Amino acid sequence: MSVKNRAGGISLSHTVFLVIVIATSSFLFWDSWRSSAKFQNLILIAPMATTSILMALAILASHLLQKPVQKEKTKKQQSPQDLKKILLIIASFGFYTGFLTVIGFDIATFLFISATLWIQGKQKVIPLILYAFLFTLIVVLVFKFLLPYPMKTVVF
Amino acid sequence: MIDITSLSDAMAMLFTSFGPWLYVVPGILIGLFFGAVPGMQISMAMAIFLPLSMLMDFLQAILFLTAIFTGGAFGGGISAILMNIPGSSSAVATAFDGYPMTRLGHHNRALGLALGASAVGCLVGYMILFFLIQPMSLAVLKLGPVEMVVIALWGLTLIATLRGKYILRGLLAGSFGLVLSCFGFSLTGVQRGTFGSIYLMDGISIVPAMIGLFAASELFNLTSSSYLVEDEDSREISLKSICRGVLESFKHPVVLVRGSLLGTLIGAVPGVGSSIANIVSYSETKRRSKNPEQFGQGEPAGVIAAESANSSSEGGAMAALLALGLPGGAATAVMLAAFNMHNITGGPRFIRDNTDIVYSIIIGNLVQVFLLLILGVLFIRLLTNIVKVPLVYMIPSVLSLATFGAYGITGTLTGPLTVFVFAFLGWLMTRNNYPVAATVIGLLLGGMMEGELVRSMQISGGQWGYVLHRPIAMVFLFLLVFCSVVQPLYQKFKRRQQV
Repeated sequence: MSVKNRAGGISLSHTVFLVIVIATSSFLFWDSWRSSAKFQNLILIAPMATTSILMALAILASHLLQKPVQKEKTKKQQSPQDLKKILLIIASFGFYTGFLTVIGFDIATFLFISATLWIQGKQKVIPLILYAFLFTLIVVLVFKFLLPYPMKTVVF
Repeated sequence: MIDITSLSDAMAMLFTSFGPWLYVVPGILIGLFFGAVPGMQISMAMAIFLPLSMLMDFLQAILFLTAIFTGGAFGGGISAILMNIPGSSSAVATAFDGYPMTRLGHHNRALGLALGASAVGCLVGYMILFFLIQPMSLAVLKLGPVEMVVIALWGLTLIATLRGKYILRGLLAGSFGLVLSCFGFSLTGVQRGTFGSIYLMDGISIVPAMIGLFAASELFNLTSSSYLVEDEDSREISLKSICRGVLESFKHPVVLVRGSLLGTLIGAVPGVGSSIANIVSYSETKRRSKNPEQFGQGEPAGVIAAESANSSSEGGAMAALLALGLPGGAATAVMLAAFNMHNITGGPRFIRDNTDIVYSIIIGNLVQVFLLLILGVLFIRLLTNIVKVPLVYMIPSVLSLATFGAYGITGTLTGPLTVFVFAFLGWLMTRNNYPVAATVIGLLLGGMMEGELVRSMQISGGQWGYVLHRPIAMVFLFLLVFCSVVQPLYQKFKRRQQV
């Protein structure tokens, strides 16, 4: 995830983070201003959004102005395979959290555990399914007992 | 300062029957369990068991709830050390060095250190409460909105500047946390950044965001490892090492006492106390250390500083609750609900009229410290087994548990989705050396800061010079400038001279 030479050595993940900061701060500041330009409404968001945008731009500029000789060192240097694994787990986690109430907590949990085990290299079907089933059974039953909210389930 | 008659009445109440102690051991165990399981919160445990306290008398109920609080404060440290998941905002700094110690195979020692520091912190916090409850309550009353804003900013700056090398990134992470806290309804009833969705009206749910930023982001980075502790021999669970860790914590008396005092004093500040106390203690210990570069790499003093402060902040929070009727955080807010359920209102009058009950609560909590030591040692042994679980199973299981926990907090899909969004954000941040803790603290303190800023402006009539007439605010303002500007510049100068 590094953009070597092209952007003064800044990594793609760093650029994505800074863009998220700038976009979120700008949107929230604009939306707050649009909703009410009163001083009391902007007392925290105005200085903090401005500060965040300026700091993010400063970091971005400091990287862009650097001599493009080497890629930026990120804290965790992972191999492309590890990175692919992480991105797949993030994606499956996204689907899991998004579809919990659609397909039911039990089915979603079973599928998520199975998929994540498979992504991480556990490809023997029986232990994979057995672990996912037992984990889902215990967690769903415990949380159904503990939580005061209704939980959509299909099997348990 | 001590009312001897009330003290003897309190002793009689506590030690003439077994009744008050009936629910203390179950309370500590519940706290340990909820604190240690990712996604579960002390406040959640207290809220779940609050209806049960209706069946108890007032003293039993409060001792039961404070037992959950005491057990949970240490339980939060267990998951922070073993999985980098602070069980609550007050255990954030425990993860800074506790988790690196686990990765180095020193998990037994780290847990022992945390247990020892927690016990001492709790003991000191309640001892101070015992002797100084009245002067402390008067001091808290002197804190106005300006002071609260400056204290919150100070805490945030401290955490942002903890890692000397990336100060700008730390400050950006903190200010971004404050920006994120502005989602939802403002104090004046204006909707901001909600996209018209009812799920965003209350703003970003903090606990799921915290789980995502701390836990899930770290779990993603563990996919290339097989176990939390790579070395097989170091994975052994040793009661001896845990006990040695407990004893080792006493070899750092200065760190212990400083952490406990800071925890009690800052813990008494309503709303910010426990979240900031552990960070202030940690950064102060790092600042005074001869080897500050060791902090964040698995430095035992870091664990002791954080745990002694977060446990002693319980005493401080109880001071604010008993003396002023103000809850210091979510857990004490549940306790306030228990007060209401028993038709009791905290405040100076409560202390004056029911001094025997106040003393009973304090003494009961002092005894809980020793029970925590015993139960903690037994319980830790069970929990440390997590280092023996292969990460290939642990990663999806903890992610799923965190998702269920987040659903339990919000009751809607907002919780799980918040965990996911912040997990991705946290992964980007840790990958690029941004301190996620600063964003969490920003999120936690943003709402309070906005309210206090508005109140400050109303009181001062918009005059900035008002702050010059507030000596306590000036002291914290000085500390803020010192920590964020003077100290980093001095350290940079020192580093250059050494080179």
